[in-house]
Amino acid sequence: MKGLIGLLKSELARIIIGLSLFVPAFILERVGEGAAEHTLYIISIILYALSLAVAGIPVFLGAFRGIIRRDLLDEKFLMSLASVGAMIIGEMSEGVAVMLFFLVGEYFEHRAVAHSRRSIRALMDIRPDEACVVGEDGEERVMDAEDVEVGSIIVVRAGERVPIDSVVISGSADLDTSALTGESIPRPVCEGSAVEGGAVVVGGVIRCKTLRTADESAAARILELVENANESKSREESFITGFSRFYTPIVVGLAVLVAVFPPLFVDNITFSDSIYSALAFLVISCPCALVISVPMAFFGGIGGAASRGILFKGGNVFSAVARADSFVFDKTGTLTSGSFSVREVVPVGISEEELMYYAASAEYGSTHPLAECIKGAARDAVIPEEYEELAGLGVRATVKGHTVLVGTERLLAGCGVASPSDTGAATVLVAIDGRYAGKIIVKDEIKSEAESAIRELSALGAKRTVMLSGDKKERAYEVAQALAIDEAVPELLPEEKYRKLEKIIAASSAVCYVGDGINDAPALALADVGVAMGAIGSDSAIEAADVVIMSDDLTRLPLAVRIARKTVRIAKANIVFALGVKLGVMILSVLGLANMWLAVFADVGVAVLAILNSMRTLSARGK
Amino acid sequence: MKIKYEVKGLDCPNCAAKLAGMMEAREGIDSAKINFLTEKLTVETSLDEAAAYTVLCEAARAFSKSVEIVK
Repeated sequence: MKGLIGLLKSELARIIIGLSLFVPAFILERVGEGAAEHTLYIISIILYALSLAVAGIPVFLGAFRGIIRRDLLDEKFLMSLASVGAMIIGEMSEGVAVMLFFLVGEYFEHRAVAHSRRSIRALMDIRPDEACVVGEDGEERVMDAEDVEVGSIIVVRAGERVPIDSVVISGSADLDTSALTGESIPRPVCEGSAVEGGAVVVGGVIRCKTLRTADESAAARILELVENANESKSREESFITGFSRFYTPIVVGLAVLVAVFPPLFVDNITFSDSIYSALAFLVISCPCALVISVPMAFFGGIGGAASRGILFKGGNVFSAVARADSFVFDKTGTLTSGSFSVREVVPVGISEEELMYYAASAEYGSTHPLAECIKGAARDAVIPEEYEELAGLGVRATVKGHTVLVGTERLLAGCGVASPSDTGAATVLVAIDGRYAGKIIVKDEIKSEAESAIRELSALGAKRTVMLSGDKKERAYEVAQALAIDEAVPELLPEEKYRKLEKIIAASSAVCYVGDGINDAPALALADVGVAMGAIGSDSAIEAADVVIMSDDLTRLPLAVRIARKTVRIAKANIVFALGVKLGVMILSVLGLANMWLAVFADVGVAVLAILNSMRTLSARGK
Repeated sequence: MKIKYEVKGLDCPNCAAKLAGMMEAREGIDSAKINFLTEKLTVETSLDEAAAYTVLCEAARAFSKSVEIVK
């Protein structure tokens, strides 16, 4: 007996037992039809009753609970009413079939939901649970990542995930950050490099010192963002939640009307016919297909985008990104990378080659991006005898007995060297032995993928692209032209950028602002959609932005637009599809053309199809 | 106090909303939100942890036997 009850708890077992009782009952009923003997008919009724009991027990119990809490619009209550009602008006097989197919539908629905949850969770399975901590005695102990204190020493070997945001203290390895940033090329790390929690070490062993707790590390922050993203609802979701509140009462109300009025006014419709139609209404009165599939589409979109290193901070962001038609970019750090190249060398009193030789030698030990660019451009350099780096100013060094200054006007002025004053941020001045020796003009490099990203945005229907920059006119226009950006606004101070963005917003329907999140948090917050690029480590950017692109790869931006559009399209398609089918079945059943089987399909069948449709958002190709 | 739980065995988002409503109706539970997709229950309560859990489990049992709340 106990085994039997256990068996009946499994949905699948109830479906199989219910069906194997239903089929013979159905056959016996048909065979017994018109026969004088009632035995076959009675047996079929008994089998039907058993089948209904097996299939419907949990539904009836649920209905009973519904009655107890005075919730007569409960899905299970309405379904029970439809099933029992059909049997009372003599449609035995239909009454049982409704319950059976409801069960089958629910079974598939639960499977589909569980599958989606699993896929999304698998996508988000980036948080390591354990960390290998090195104790003071040098012994390694494996412990819960959550319990590791800040400043602990941990070891991460090839194939393992970095458990906590840390800095490498010894060893070197390649780091695969694809789970965090969507960037598939591993990045080499060595002593002094920062490593993010959730990244995977491929090849090599590193010893690191933890910088944060596990809860504050990159992977945990991303997960929390994704989880919370599910809380803020899109317009489509809000529409559905609001709608579902009215949907059931309206359909049940319609069912009553359909049951009572047609027989009173139309001659050839009996109460048995009209009640049958009304029961079909009850079967489709649950808004579940909609209420599941629409949020599921956004959930899938959030998960799918996150797997490509794009974080949408809410369902509402999808519609805004999908609508955006103006794109405003910050130049430095967004369209251009952090590295520089030499644009022009203007020597004074010495040759171009000599100037570069002294400058590169003086900068020999510096890792500043400007120094790297000068060293890269010089043909030759030596290690300086003396060397001093002056933060924010430049360097002072002794090269082959000559005192060399490389840096800003202030550096030279501070050492009593006069220099021309028409210099900008992109100019490095050089003085040798107290005399101005010339200048090196550099330019920041345009990201290699920027042009194709902008082109793709235009192809996606971006009406207006604007570049805001604090840089000189010349360079700003040059970058804008190279990238085929519609407008460039150069020489802006940070607060002027904000004002300019305000003006653009006033003139457009939906503006997307793209920045690197450094210094432009107000602009990110101001735009309809703020996109922060390369923001894996920046809390303020993550806070202010609506979309966070973890890597600094610009092609993720058109991808984000495509994902957003696809997600919104699927959500809308689900609404139209589910409502359309239900409305169609209602009309057909009033006309006497639909049976209850069709109604069950319109309920659970549509739910399953809509859920499967929603899961297409997970693939994240955005096509 | 804000407490998070996992909720297993819910049939649909509609049921999730109903259960959340029933939980909110209980004394000491200021707000209850259930996210059907992530199966997360977030509760604001003036009760202590153990008492809140008991109250929530009672509400869940009154709603459906198949629903389970995991700490």
